Amino acid sequence: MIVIFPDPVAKAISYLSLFYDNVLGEEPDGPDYNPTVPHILVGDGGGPGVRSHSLLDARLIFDIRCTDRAVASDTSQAVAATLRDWEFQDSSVTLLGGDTPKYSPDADRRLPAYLFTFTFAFRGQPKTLTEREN
Amino acid sequence: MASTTIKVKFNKGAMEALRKDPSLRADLVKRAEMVARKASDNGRVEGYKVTDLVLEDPRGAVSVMATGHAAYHNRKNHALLKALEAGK
Repeated sequence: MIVIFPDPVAKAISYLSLFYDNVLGEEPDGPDYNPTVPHILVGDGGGPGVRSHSLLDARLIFDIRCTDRAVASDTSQAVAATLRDWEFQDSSVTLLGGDTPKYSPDADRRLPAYLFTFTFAFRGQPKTLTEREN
Repeated sequence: MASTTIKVKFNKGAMEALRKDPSLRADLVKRAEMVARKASDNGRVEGYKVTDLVLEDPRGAVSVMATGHAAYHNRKNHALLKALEAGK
């Protein structure tokens, strides 16, 4: 029996996509990038890593952008609240800590953006390992 | 049973001296250098600077700053945040 950990970024994107549009794992690029509706970027923020055979502690970075600063602010608070609720929706996730959204505009494009981090423990899924046939 | 009163008096001067102790500061610098090394991908990205903040009062403090190209690298990759655990 082995334990497979989830990809924390992919899991967070999957969860947030249940409630929000435009949840992305990569920063959109190009001169035409102009998010008039909120874009929620989820990134890998490192973190302590594997804690035990069954738990992975990971820090995630959330970057909420919108050309309308008020919309970006409201969305970031809503996303943070949704993430605080995650452990009550999914028993394989435990909130270990986090901060509150801080105004951190994208320096290249002067886009309004709010940034915050959360650290979660993710429980891995057991899987039976079978030897391959020669 | 008779109750016993224990008085604890903190020595503020000793605490400040402890926080500025050279060995403690050296430990902080070592940890900061490990964070900078990790953030800079073992020195491949230039501009991550470790500074011993000697005038910081009343404690010893060391900073890791992303300057020049490192500032851009850190903004794009969140390298300092990801490297935090290297200082533990």
